[in-house]
Amino acid sequence: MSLIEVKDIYKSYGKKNVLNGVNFHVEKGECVALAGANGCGKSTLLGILAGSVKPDSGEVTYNGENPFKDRKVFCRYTGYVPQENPLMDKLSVYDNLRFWYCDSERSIEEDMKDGILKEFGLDSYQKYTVDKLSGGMKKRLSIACALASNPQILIMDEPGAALDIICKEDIKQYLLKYMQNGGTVVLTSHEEGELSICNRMYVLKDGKTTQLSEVLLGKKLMERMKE
Amino acid sequence: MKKKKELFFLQIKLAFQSIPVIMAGTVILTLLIALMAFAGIKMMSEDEDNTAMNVALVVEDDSKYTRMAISYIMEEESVKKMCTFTEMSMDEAEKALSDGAVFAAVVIPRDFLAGILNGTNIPARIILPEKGINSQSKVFRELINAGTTDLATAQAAIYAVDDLCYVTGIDAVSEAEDYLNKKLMLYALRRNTYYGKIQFSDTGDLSVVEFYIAAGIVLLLLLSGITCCDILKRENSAFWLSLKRQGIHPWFLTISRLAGIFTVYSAMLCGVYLVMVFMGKISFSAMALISIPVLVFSIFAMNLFIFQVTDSKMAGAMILFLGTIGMMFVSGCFIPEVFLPKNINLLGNFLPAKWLTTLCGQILTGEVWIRTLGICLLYGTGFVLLTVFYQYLLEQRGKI
Repeated sequence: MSLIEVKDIYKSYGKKNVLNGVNFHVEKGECVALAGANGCGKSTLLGILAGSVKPDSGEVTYNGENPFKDRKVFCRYTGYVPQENPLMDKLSVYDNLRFWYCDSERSIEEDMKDGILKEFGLDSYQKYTVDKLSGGMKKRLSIACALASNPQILIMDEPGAALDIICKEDIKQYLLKYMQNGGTVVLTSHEEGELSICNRMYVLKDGKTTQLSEVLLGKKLMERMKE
Repeated sequence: MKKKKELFFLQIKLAFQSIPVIMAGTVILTLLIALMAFAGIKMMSEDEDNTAMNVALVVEDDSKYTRMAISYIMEEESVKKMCTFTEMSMDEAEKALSDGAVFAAVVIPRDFLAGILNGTNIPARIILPEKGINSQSKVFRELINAGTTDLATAQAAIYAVDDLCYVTGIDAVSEAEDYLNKKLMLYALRRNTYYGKIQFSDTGDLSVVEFYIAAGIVLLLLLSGITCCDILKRENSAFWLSLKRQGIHPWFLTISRLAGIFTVYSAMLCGVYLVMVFMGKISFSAMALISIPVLVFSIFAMNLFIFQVTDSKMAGAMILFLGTIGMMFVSGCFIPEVFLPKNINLLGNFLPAKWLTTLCGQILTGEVWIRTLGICLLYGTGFVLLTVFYQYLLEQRGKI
């Protein structure tokens, strides 16, 4: 049994059919990439995996458990980092973390000392309001919030979008470390750096997924997406 | 449940953290609105200095009795309040009329008094300018007509008594005429013996000042939505999606934010109310104190709806500002509704501003009607439900 099983997912908005029978699976410890043109439904699919979007039909299971019957399964298994940072702009870094850590086994103080918050440099920005942070720090904070519940699976929608090279590299290194510690990653990306750490790749086109035999980058990926 | 509690608490905290911005915005808006209210009160209140009309008096009758009568009339307090007479020649009067220096010219013709005494009643003429005839001109003409009618009536009364004395042989004509002249002239000129003064007010039980204070408070609270736009605006869709994962519906966040703003403003206004009671400016009413949170809720529910729908601080602020000014004008909060067309009045009855201002006025007087309270609560609840429905539509369309 795969860690994540996605079977025959359909989703439409009004008359527009976004997903037309998506099927894929993810094994524990893998990093799986979802590639596709803009507007093909990648974010919708990740939203379904994360529990933010309800599919019209189909099935998603985590270790055989159906999260749509019990929403807590989503939170137990997954941490979700959408493309836009899910942060409360006018509150401080600490207050944002309070929300995500309130039902976590670990405390903010512990992680500020020697956990992910220290690793991301967020300990120096506790009192800053989110709107005063740089794009890179906001993304780090978003990832830290997603990891507060210590999820097995990290779902990320274009994690490197609009970030500088250093930040992208930091995130990439963190993801490698996360996978080394047994974590599983499902991400969408157009960045070669992020795609290069993936084990497998699916292309989403016309609402369906196709697994590629290898992870493609750059021009090869572009040609494959056009087919 | 823990996450919901934490989220709710954080929104309350966000609202309290915004107090400095809210205070600064309130000060600026208060100054702006105080200026508008001052101008409104000035416009609506009587200004005694401007009510006296300048009138040219052309006296062609040389009789000393005519001069005595005219002097007597001009010295009467009730006449002095209304008009300032300046004697001049006909040519001067015509020039003053065309220049606008005088409001009207009264011409007392030759043999005017003789005409009264012998019954020919040569009329006095009132000349008004060609242009600029207005309600003031009509009032003036009516005043003059009333005065001449009274004189004619007085004359008829004197003649009647004279005839009675002649017919009955009573030798008291002089005494009778003297007595009647005094009494009848008194009635002719001192009109306040006939009329009482009733002040009609379109501001209901409120004085003009109270009315504009109430309208000002409502305007201030409505425009405070601009100050609070960071809190009232729609949160980014990514955060909403993250909340949905946690089983927290976006409307919970929206309601929590409204609760935060509601708490801050209710506390502020209740505090101000209690201070005013303590200073003796208004009398305490438990009902009025309870009504303050209802007023705040209704107003900020509307502000919330506007900012949630527009999804842009700039657009929301523009719509809120223009909408508030328009709504308050139509509801008769700037210019009393008696001066507005009937159709506008009808529309104003359905707009929240009218009921919010009414409730605010009732809070000031301490006599809150349950009906007004209920209607305002209904408006507030309606706007909250509309907001929630709008978020539901966004969800259905995949926007959140």
